[in-house]
Amino acid sequence: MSSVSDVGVPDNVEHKASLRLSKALLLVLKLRIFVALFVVIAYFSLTVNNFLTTSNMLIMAQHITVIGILAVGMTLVILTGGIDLSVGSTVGLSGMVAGFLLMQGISIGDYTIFFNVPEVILLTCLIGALIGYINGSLITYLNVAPFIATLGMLYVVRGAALLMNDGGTYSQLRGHEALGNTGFSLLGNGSFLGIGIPVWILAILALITWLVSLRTPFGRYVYAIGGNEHAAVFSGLRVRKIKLWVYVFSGFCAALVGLVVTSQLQTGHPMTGDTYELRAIAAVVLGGTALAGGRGSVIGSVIGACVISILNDGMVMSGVSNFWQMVIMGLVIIVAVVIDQLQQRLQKKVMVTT
Amino acid sequence: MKRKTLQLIKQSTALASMSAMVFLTGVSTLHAQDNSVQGNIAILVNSLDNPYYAAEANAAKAQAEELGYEARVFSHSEDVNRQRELINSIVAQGANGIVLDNADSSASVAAVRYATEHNVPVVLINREIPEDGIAIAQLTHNNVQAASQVAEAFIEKVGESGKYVELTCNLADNNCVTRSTAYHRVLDQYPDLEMVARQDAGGELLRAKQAMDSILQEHSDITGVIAGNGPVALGAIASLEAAGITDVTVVGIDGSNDERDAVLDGRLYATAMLQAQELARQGVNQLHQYLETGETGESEERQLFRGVLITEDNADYVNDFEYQSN
Amino acid sequence: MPITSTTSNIRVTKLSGGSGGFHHFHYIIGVIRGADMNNTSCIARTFGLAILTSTTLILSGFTIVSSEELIEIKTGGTPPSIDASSLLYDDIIPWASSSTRNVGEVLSAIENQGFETTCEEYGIQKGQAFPCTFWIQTSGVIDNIDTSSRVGKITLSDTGSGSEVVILSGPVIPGTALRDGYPDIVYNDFSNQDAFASFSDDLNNEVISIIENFGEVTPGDRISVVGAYATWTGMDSTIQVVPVSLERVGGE
Repeated sequence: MSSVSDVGVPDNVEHKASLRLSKALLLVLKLRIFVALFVVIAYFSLTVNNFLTTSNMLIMAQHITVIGILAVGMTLVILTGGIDLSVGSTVGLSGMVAGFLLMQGISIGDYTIFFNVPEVILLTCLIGALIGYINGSLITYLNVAPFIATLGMLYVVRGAALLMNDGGTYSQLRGHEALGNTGFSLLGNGSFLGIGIPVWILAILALITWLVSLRTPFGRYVYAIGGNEHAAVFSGLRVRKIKLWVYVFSGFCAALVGLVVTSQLQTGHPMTGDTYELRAIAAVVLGGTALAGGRGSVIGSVIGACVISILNDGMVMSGVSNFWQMVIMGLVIIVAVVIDQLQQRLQKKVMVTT
Repeated sequence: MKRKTLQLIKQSTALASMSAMVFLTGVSTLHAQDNSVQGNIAILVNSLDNPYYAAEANAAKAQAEELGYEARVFSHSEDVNRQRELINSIVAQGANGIVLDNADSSASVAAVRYATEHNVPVVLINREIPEDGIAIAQLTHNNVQAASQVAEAFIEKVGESGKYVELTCNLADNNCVTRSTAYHRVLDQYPDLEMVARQDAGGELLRAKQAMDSILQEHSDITGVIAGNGPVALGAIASLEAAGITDVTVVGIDGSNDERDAVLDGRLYATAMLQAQELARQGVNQLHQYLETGETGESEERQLFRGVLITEDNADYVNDFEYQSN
Repeated sequence: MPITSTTSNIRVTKLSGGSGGFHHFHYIIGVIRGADMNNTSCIARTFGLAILTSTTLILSGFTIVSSEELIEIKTGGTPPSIDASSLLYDDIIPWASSSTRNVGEVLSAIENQGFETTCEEYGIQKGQAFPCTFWIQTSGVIDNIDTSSRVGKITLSDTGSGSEVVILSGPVIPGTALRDGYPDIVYNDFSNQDAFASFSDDLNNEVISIIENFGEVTPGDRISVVGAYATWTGMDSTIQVVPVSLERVGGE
């Protein structure tokens, strides 16, 4: 136990009392995202009809998954000090790819190949991972700043999604028995033990990612890179490879979301996912991850996504106007960051005087 | 020093909680009491900053309230996923019926089906879905008729030969494609009338102006511009005015107040006014009829509403997408 | 602060005092000293193997179809579309011929009883979105043949109705009078507005062949015509008719 103490701090009762208060406050601030979740649920359950009913909770859980899965991937990216603005466009493109494979198949000469649903899912995830790989390569090998690289990819990927069917959609994804590609709607609409499959996907993905981030070397490296990238480089970490994987994972998560949404809509729509990257970033920031990297947690981001989504649904059910919803959402994000700053200052104070 | 920091923290927390309280209170006051006699109707349209959708939403709300319903307006901003989420929440909230101007045709089928399966009837306005039997009624403007009449007026002014430019609205919208196809159905019958450029202006004023600027650089001898919607027509006009060109005929479809003013000024030759208010009102009426009697009162699910050709002679009758001829 | 280095395990020594930036450096050194790269690649390898096996299993289930089979699968169950030509000759023209009224009769009815009543009695109106279509017949002398515009017009005078009747002779026939005038064609039967409009075009194109088959006409000829007259107000200055049947009337 180190005993670095502040020179000249009087060791009196008043000091101890304020320290206890600071520590208590610090605890509350650290758990603030859970506090926020509780407050939001409590408020809406009191003011809105049918809020705490099972059916509504299940619906809200479904809504959480879209931003939640994106937030899981985004957390790792932001933890390394980067950012991924292209996830929304990747959601759109993966929806279109899935739609294309189910509706048109791949034509070679006079023959067309139709993949079954698990293959379509796999191929779409690969496309998402590929986009992530391109992002990662631009950032690590060509040294383009993450903001710029993923911003450029945002446009490229969105344009690609629109080009695929000339701005049109791929509808009728029910598939044909004869082609062996029925059952796609199960991904988004099916349920297991009463809970929707997308929710299970989010839960399992979040759990695995959380464990990886905290219990494996890879996770440690991610935090290390975000904390102090130069030190990480000088310490011999394969920073490039780790960053690359992190963006690949983010692209993969975006593809998952694209599949889920397309399955629920039964249509591949090229504009799906528009501005979702901003909502994912908001969820991550709300959950306590610093944009500079090195600090944060996957579970926090998922809870952040819950708060945003429930707040959104609650406001809709309360009849709040669309424009006010935007204002409130923005204020929530700002307040979250301000509180985060307070927490940091308080933390330093508590740490120094221990 | 410590006291000051502590005080700062206390103040900030207090401020944060107060602001939260204020806003949450504000939110709760917006939550109207459910004392209505008839029930609860949800009106879901596109972005409310577009005067067309605002006119639709307001007319529907007014009609619903007149019939004794509590009405709430939502906006999906052309995001099909948000539309689906909103419909989920609306159904969970216990709405009795939905009037929907949907975000995309095929992608909306699942959402409309969801509402119908949960015993919330849906009336579609302005945009159709490609499947029958799910919504109780689909009320749309006869875009083909409106576009045909506008194209015929265009030819009357421009003549049966010459060069023209087409600027479309957002071609991802079925209605837009219908209008463009209808224009060409008329215009392509005149082989001496040549389309020298066609650009997707996305239905937006600024994009249309910029597209027109570029086109004018290359084709300075055009005689007419045919636009896919109102903002695009106005954008083309802005571009022509900036270039000092006054002898090019511009036509469009929509019929907003801005277009009416442009027609009266002589800058816009003709437009077709889509009866947004009438459509919305009829939608609410049929929903009401269905909730009361189990039938909409109409024999067909898909119903067309006429677009009114607007020229200098009758532009005065246009106000907020309503044609007031008496 | 003990930092142990082992070759098969990662030992991370957690430093006390929270996670301020100052401590990150020490944290990382601890990680690196103890890290074993083999561990990572071992995990990566098993992961990769798992993916590969599941991929191979899944990929064994795709289907290849030829383009003919594909068309058959996709269109199985689509109802056949209505054929404009047969509808026109088999249904519309016989029906029209039996429901026509003299153009003069219709015009005077509009003047005396008002447009709406006349429309209800004599015309077909499918709804507020459609004009009222009257099936009329008349005979008269060709006064003028105007082919300067592609909307060809043959003007008939001396029709006994007091008004000039204009026969639309193509090659461009505006409007949708034939489609709107036949009661059994409803919008609901078509998948979208485009298909509905195309059908009208098909009907109009048939009319062009009818006119072509009729042969040359010159001013002064006397002909009789059965056709559709669509109007929103009944107050048009010229009565524009889309013909479905044309006959030469013997001269005096």
